[in-house]
This record gives sequence, structure tokens and C-alpha cells, in this order.
Amino acid sequence: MLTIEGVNKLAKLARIELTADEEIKFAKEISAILGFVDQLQKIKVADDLVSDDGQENNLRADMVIGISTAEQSELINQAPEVENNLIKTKPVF
Amino acid sequence: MSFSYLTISQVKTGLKHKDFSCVDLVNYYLGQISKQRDLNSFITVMSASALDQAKKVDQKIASRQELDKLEGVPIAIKDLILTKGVKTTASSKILANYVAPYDATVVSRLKEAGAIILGKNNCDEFAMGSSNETSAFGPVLNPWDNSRVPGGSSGGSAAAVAADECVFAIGTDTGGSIRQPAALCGVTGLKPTYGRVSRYGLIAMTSSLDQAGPITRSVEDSAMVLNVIAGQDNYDATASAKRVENYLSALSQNIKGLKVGLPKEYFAEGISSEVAAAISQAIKKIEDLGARVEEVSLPHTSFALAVYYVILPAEAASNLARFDGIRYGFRSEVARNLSEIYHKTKAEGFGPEVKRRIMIGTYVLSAGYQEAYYLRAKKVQNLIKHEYAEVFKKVDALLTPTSPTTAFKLGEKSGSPRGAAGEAGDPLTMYLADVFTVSANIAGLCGISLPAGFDKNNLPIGLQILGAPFAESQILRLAYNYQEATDWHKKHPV
Repeated sequence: MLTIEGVNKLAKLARIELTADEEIKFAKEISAILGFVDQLQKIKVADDLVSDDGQENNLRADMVIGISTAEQSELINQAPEVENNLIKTKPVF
Repeated sequence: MSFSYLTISQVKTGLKHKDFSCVDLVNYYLGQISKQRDLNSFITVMSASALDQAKKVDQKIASRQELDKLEGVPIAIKDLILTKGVKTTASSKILANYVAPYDATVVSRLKEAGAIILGKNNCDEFAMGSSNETSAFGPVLNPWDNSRVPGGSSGGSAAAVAADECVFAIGTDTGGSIRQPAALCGVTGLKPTYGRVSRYGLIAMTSSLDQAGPITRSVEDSAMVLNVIAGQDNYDATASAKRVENYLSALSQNIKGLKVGLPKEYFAEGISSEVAAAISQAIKKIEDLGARVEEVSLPHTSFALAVYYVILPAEAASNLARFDGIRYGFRSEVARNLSEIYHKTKAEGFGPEVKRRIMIGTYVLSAGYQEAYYLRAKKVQNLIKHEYAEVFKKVDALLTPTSPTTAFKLGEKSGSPRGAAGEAGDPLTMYLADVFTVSANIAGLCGISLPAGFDKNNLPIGLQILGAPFAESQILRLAYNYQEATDWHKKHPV
């Protein structure tokens, strides 16, 4: 059973601010969902995590490809606030 | 010349023989979208660029140039997939004004093949949902009955195809999000094997399960689209290097002697009697066509949903951490410091279902719980994969219902808009809608849903065919033969 304190701990880890109503609602709903997935505890499983389906990552050569300054600018300018080609945020405190 | 419910072949033939111009064709679909605005199946309509492209196609035809595989075919793309220079929102407030700086690989391949993008489809927020009710841009309505859901999360894509707003659409499927809405909307939806289609440019939700695929009017169209989008991609390390066969070539081969398994765990309780009846009829039809049908067993089937609802939240919590208001997307305007940017951006930008899943993911990955939840789920996943591998040694394909019921009413499972109130709605009830589809994602199989009948309210019923990894040819062949012998897929909403 997830308590309000438990929900707040999760919210803090996930960096999501919750309202008081949300704390109550989510505690209840998440408890129910965790209760549902608890059925996995009953199953006998092997210790091995490796799957034998033969799929492998297709890696490319470990080389820098790079992008143009135009592309770079385009990406940086997606930020809500930009100054001197740097992304601007609020101060830490 | 009627533009009504054209298939890819019909469009290509019509354009080539100059039965109609591409501009007229695109205007038809833009008209269809405009007339049916209430369905809310599109978040962005790209009229100007679509017409521009149409003019170029007409010029190409006039100068007798050779036409590409999907030249001039008007399509739609789920708004979870990046389209360069066009808003891509994931149906979330947090990306409401985000303009994608690049095309997803599926998009660039479709563009290279000449397809014309009409717009971006509404979907459940970050693909989290089974009814298209969690979208920040309002729910999508089922074209067969506007008081009902189209299914999800690719609800907008399925509705658009069913309502003749495009020739086909591209959706994504993590736990059934192509197949289930296809079933509820009476269209054909294919989830390729994980790794068959590149995930580059798909806004990642569950990186080990997500897969893009076509939602079409026919199995033949699915095969045509798969031919274009499948294959290795240097931008996606999980895209398989396995050769892409021609998915059209084996389609019309008959299915005499094909071994089809009916997993008994999929035919237990919880299915509506009308769905059960339609599937029974479909099984008989497939036997008439020469296939050998036998019962099989997949004992760990009942645990697939629990495995899914541990793995999905864990990976989604990681994937959605990037939406923090710093580099792109929405940033809270009331944040006074860095920490508040993170906390308030997510509080204001994400909907309730997204928050729920992020927090569950955080829990199952947290110290002290990771072993008991996430690692355990991965071990059970291996059990399930192994079980399917054993069954596919005995049969060539599996046949099941796609969804336990036909389309349910808006608000019936979600309780209130976006599932926000929680009192009348119960997230778990919504999760159960995926019970027949999640196994394919968990076990890395391919799967297709196709129309197999209607209930007494004239709501579509879907049949699901599952295949071993990379056995798309097998399931497409079975699906094609069934579809050729029936005409459920030719029926359309009034």
C-alpha cells in the first residue's frame, strides 16, 4: 500500500510537483496498479536474465560525425530562452 | 471517378491513367478532414505542403516520369512521430508547440517513396492509453459511433483511415496501440516485429517494445507499406540487419496445410459473446480455406499484462525525464529557480496518466524495489518469449480476438476527461483492454488485426493473427487469404 509519504518520495525522484488532491488520488491508484503487478511474485523464474532470441545491436563505427553550425543553431534555438548561443535557465537558487 | 475509400493500388492506377489529378485527390482528403473535424483525428493538417507536393506529382505524371512506390498517395502520421519543420506534439501540452528538427526514418522513407503527408494524427498522450482519451487535445471519436472511443493509442490514425480522411496512416504499437484501434475502427493494423522498422524519430516511450507500423484499408496495402518502411537503419541500433523480403510476393499463395494455433488462454472469460461468435466464424472460414487449426497452450499468457505494466513505466520514466523545460518544449512560466522549472514544467505539462506511469516506473526502478519488480518482470518476459518460441515450432501462426470487446463509450473506462477524476474511472480497467495484444510486444512477435465482423450495434470486431519474430510474410499471407474470402473490410461507417 503506497502512502502519501510514499507518493511524495516518488514525485520528488521524478521531479513532478503534485497538488494535495493529486497526492491522495495517485496514492490510491498507484497502490492498485502495484497490487496488480504483484502477481509476478508468484512465478518461479530462472536466475538468468539473458534472452536467447538472437537479436543484437547494430552498431556503427565509434567515430564523430558532427553537425553543421546551422543545425547546431537550430537545435539550440529550440530552447525557451537563449542568450549568446547558450541555453538560459533560472538560477539554482 | 469516386475517390471513396481508395486503396494504394487504386490511387496509383488512377493517377497513372490520369483518371484524376493528384491535386484533386489531395483536395478530396482535405475536404474529408474538414467535414469531419468533430472526429478530432488530426492535430495538425498540412494543406499547403500537401497541395504543393500534389502539384509536383501532377507535373511528374505529365512529363511521363517514372513514379515511385507510393507516388501521390495521401497519408497521415501519428503525432508521436517526428516530421521535420512540422509541429510534433505527442498529444501533450509539454510539446504543444514543438517543431521537429528532423524527419523520423519511417517518414523520410515514405517521403522518398512519394507519399504525401496530409497531417499529424491525434493519439493518447505519449502513446499512453487504449482509448485516445488521454490526449491533451481532446479525445478522438469513433467514426462508427461518435459516442464511443476509437481505441488507442493510435486512435486518430485508425479513425482517419476508417473515415476516409487518408489512404493509410502510420501508427505506433507498444502494447497494442496499432492493433486495438484498428479492431475498434474496422480497419487493418500491422505491428511489425520489434526491430523490423526503425524507431529513429519516434518519440520514445518504451524503447524495448515500441514499433511503428501501417494502418490500412487492406492487407495488401499493409504489405506495400511494410516494403517501404522496413529495414536496417544507421540511426537505430535496434533496427535489424535482416534482409527485407518482398512482403507482396507470397501474399496470394494459398493457405492449404498452414498450421494455425488457437491459444486456449485467449479464449477464456472476459470476451464479449459477440466477439467470441465472430472469431468462431473466422476460424471456420480459415479451416474452409485449407488451414489446419489446433488448440495450443501458453500458460504464462495471463502474466503478460503485469510484465507490460512494469517494463513500460520503467522505460517511460527514463525516456520522459528529458522533458524538463530546459532544451525544448514547454517551460513553466511561474518557476522561480531551476528546481521549480523541473517540478512545475512537468506538473503543468504532463497529463494524469503520464504522471501515474512515470511514478510507477520510478518506484519499480528505485533502490530496494528494482530486483523485486523490474528484474523479475524481465525474467518473466523471458519465460513468455520462450513459451511462444516453443509454440511456433508446432504452428505457423496464432489466431486470437484482438480486443475482448467492441468500442466502449467515451468516459466508460476513463471516468472523466483524460482520466483525471479517478473516482468513476479506474486505470486498471483501461489497462485490461490490452490483454490480448500486449503479449506480441512482450515476446517480440509480429501481429496484425483485421476486420472480422460486427456486433449488433454495427461496431467492428477485429481478428488478430500473431507470428514468430520476422515472420510477417506468414501472417500477411494468412490475413490476405482470409480477407479475400470475406468483405468485412469493405464495409464503412455511414
